[in-house]
Amino acid sequence: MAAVAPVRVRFDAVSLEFATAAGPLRVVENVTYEIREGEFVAVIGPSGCGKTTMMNMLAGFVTPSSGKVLLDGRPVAGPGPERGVIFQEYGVFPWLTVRHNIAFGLRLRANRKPEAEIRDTCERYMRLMGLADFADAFPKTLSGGMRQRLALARAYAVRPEFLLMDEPFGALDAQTRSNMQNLLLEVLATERKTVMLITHSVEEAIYLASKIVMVTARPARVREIVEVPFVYPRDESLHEQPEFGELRSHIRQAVMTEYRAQQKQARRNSGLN
Amino acid sequence: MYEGIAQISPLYVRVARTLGATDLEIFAKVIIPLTVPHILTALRVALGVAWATLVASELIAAQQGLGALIQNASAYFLLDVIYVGIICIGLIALLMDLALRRASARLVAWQERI
Repeated sequence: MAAVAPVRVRFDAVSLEFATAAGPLRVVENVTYEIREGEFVAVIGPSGCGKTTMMNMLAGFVTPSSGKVLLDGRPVAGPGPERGVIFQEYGVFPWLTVRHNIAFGLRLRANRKPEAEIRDTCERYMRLMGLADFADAFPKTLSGGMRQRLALARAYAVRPEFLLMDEPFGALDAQTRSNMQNLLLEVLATERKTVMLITHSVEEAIYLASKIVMVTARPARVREIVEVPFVYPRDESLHEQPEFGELRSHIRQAVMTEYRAQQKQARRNSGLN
Repeated sequence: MYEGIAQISPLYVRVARTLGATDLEIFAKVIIPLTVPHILTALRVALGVAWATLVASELIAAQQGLGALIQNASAYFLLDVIYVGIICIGLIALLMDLALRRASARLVAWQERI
């Protein structure tokens, strides 16, 4: 079934260079892969390798130096409400209460809705994300997990087709992170989206994703793409399955190899200076 | 003020953009709310400077009012009247500062404080 779903996003020989004092720095090099409708793609690689930059290109914050990032066949031109983004630092607006944070997107001209509908949407997502008791609280009183749930609710409220997540659970403790993963799977089961997840956690990638793109140390290239064989809905028992363990050790090995390459590279560079 | 705007985290602007905000909406719904605390701080500083200037000019050049009252009283050595003038000036300044602080507390209740 997944094989016939249409391609929504295509990275077509994408490269990106940043100009630095020491000359151009190549961050992403000749990256090509596709994301199909309804797919959950996890991008995994050593930290600082350029995977966030890939997401920023799809989000429309960064334009590639060469190659194209195609969204439904057209090059990405700036951010848009059909691509919801979840940041690691949450980015909830501190001056707005929980309710108004969720309503923020719905009050913009791009996706303006009648007040009654906004209220309903807010109530719905507050209930779904377990924030109903905090409707009128400011974010300063919320825990990290709650802030991330709020960010998720706010992104979902404008009904994006895509969800781009940049290490969304990286700042959370282990229990909260695992809760959030399950919540995400639950929410996705009710409202399917096409997802791109940037992560450095191998378990998280396997547990959540339907396809994993492993990238190399900087400059980021595609090292390998694996399809995750498990079907949705998934639950915690997945972690105990032998295939999970096999996949995990395979991916971990790849990530560690790239990590070591990156360390070596860093040492070499510092040796030069 | 300028410093305050320059310090606004680009994260909030990015979030607003991904939700579909236009430049104008970002200015009205993100930049302005984030600038309010800085506006209030600037107001308090300005209030202090304005009062100091006002008192000085009142004492030097005023024909009427508290400054003139103090000036005239000092010419006749009426200490009680001088003190009334000084206390009045102090009280008014205190009241204005209090009002401003009340307003700040309400407007920036969302801020995390230490």
